[in-house]
Amino acid sequence: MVTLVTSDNEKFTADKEVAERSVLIKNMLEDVGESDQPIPLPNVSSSVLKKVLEYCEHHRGEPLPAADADTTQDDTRKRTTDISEWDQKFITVDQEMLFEIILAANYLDIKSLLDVGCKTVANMIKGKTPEEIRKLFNIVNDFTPEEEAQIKKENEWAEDR
Amino acid sequence: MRRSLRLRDKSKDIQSASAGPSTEDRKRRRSEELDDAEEEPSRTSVKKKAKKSRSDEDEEPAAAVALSKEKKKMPREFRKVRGNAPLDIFFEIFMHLDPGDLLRLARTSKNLRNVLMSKSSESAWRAARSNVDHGLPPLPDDLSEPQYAHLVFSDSYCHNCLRQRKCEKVLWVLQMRCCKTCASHLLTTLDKVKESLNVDDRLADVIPYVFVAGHEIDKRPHYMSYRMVSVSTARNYKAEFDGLKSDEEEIAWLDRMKKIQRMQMQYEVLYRDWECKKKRARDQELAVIRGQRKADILNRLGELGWREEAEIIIHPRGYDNFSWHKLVHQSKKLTDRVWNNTVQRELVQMLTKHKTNRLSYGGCPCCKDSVR
Repeated sequence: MVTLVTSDNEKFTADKEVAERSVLIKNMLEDVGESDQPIPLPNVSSSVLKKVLEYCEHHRGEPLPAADADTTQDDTRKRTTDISEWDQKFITVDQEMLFEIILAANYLDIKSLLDVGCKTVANMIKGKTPEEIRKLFNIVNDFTPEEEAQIKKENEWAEDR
Repeated sequence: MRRSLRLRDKSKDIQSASAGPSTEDRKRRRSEELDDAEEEPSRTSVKKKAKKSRSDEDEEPAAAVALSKEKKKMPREFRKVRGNAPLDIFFEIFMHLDPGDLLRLARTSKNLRNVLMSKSSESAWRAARSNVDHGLPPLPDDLSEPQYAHLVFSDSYCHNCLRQRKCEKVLWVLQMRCCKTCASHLLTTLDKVKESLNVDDRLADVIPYVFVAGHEIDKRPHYMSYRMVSVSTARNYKAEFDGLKSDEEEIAWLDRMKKIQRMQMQYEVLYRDWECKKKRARDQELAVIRGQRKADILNRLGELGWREEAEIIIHPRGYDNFSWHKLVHQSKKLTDRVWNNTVQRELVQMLTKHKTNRLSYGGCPCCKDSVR
């Protein structure tokens, strides 16, 4: 078993196999060796870690992507935004939690979870108008009407900013 | 660090063999330009800062990693959603979108525009292009990624007068989508150009053109068409051609322009081919949805004891009043609410009437009248 300590000082215990779905934790455990010492995760709160562990528990035993998996896979595999049914249910959370999960997956280095999070955000953006995207993410429109007319012509491509 | 390696790998396969700045350079630039967006206006100070961080990196790798992690942050708007996050996550999201989505994202705010319109985001645009189904033709040499995305995906308004109206056709000769009114001002027949600009045949032969059906221009029959050219292109070509001094120069110029003209026409063919494939796939998709809706309706009618009556009407090829009923022939999934509110009532009414007619007259006028 592995003990993890969150930013709000809550302790979680998980099977080594489950916790090691995080490449960060896996490497830490390899570095530390056999030890009962709890692993501090200062960038992850307890509510988020709970969700992350739920994900890792569900996907325990599945093969982890190899370090160079992307280069070999992406040559033949098109990027899709398809998410499995369980993952879809799992990621149906409020926007705040969604971004928290993405950040935690990025920090803990759980590629599959990061992909699920990013695909979910991508699906939220897909096919929406600029106004709808602004509404969705509380983005303030800081273009003047003249600038807006200009960008609609789309003849600008930064030379090399 | 490992995440960055993954992103590097991702963009590598998209870049294919194209030579360009290294991923590390691009990532550095990304973080620079983000800072730029946040800390305008001093560009030089940003460059200095980036330089400094690079030299630090040489001396203290660990410290530099921490510094660069601190520097890569999401644009302000997304940070409102959730604190500070590495910009890499943004690019992870972009990887799953198509160029049209990136274009609309770039039109939401200045920050996002700055990130997406910078050349260092080229890999994200390329990735987005590779996400488009049915093989979108490659980027034309004379267009940038956003310009190409604009041409292909911005079809809800006229690119010339900006009025909201669906412009389905890409006019490659103008490299834009425009309304009929604008097209009539921007395009003219080759014959008119020859006459008004005094263009000789050699020059007329290299001006890019498009065939437009006669009835779209005047009252000519539909099988006759006009060779239309862009007024401004014709003027520019004429000016350039008149500026050439020797016969050799003229021949070389005409040769170059002929190649451009051919290339443009090849693009038009490739693009139309892609559009056809896309449309066919969409039609099939919709047909599947309609089929599922019909099957769902039949199942629900079965539960009410009306399936048999419906099946009497249904023609094996679907040419019948039931299959084409406005509530059946729809490309929308049937929901419980819609079924309970309208579909059930209207279809049962229709089937009741059908049954009564069938039993009273020994046959149904509706079935007799249909193709069946």
